[in-house]
Amino acid sequence: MNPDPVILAFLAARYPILYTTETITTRVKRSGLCDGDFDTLAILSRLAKRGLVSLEVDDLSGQEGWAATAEGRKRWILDGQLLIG
Amino acid sequence: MRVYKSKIGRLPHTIRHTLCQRLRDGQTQAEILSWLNALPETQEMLRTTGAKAVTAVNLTDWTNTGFQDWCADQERTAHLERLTEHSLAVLERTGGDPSAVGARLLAGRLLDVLEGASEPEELGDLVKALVALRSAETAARKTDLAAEANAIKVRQLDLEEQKFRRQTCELFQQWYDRDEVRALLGNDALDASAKTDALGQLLFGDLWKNC
Repeated sequence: MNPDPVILAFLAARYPILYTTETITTRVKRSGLCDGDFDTLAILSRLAKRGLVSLEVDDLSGQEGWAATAEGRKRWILDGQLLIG
Repeated sequence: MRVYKSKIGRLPHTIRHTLCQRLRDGQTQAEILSWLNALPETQEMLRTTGAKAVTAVNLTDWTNTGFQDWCADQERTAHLERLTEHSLAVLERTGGDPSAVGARLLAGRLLDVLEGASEPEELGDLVKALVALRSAETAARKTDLAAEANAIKVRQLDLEEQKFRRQTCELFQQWYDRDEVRALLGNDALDASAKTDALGQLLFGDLWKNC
């Protein structure tokens, strides 16, 4: 399955919680929905350009995480709320 | 991921989702089949499989299989939403700012534990991280409060300065209304220093001796 909607589904179901790129990769791979390797960061960048996810950075600590946007969550609901455990 | 080989199971996820919503909402089989068979995606699937239409039997089969799985998924999604809210609430109750990046990353780790996606041993690290977050946010709040207090003092000083200037102008008007003051100021026989001294004695009396 195309990893783009899978990654969006993972984040949108847990909106507005933030996840690191590493955690997203681990969880999506564990779901077994995506065959082969995929570039999580490239996918997140694509989704961000569509306004479906956003990257947030803490100025003091430098921590960064990705979350679905409100728009991303709406998209996920319209697309049938694919559940990534 | 579940794979359905039935006619309905071959349809896109979004269509199956809408179909299940219609089943949940109690639409009749006739209504659902009329809608479903008219969709371009269904037409394409029927062409591919060589079938004529999605039938009532197909729909009944789906109700007993895919629809049941969909209902279970809906419940799991609702449960996940409750866990998400719970994670954020835990952060907030421990003093974290749920809108802050660090707090929302921690909420993700907490949610991982609640979902069973992390090892239970990670809970110890998570508690330490929560405590550290609380300490950091308390320190940040203290800094913010100190900055606010300074800003208030600066505003107070500013207001006092504005008040002083206003009072000075009001006093100047009162003094200039006095004939003896205007006479002193207009006396060319006195230099600036002598005028200042004379004015001081005139306006402040004994208090002027100490200036």
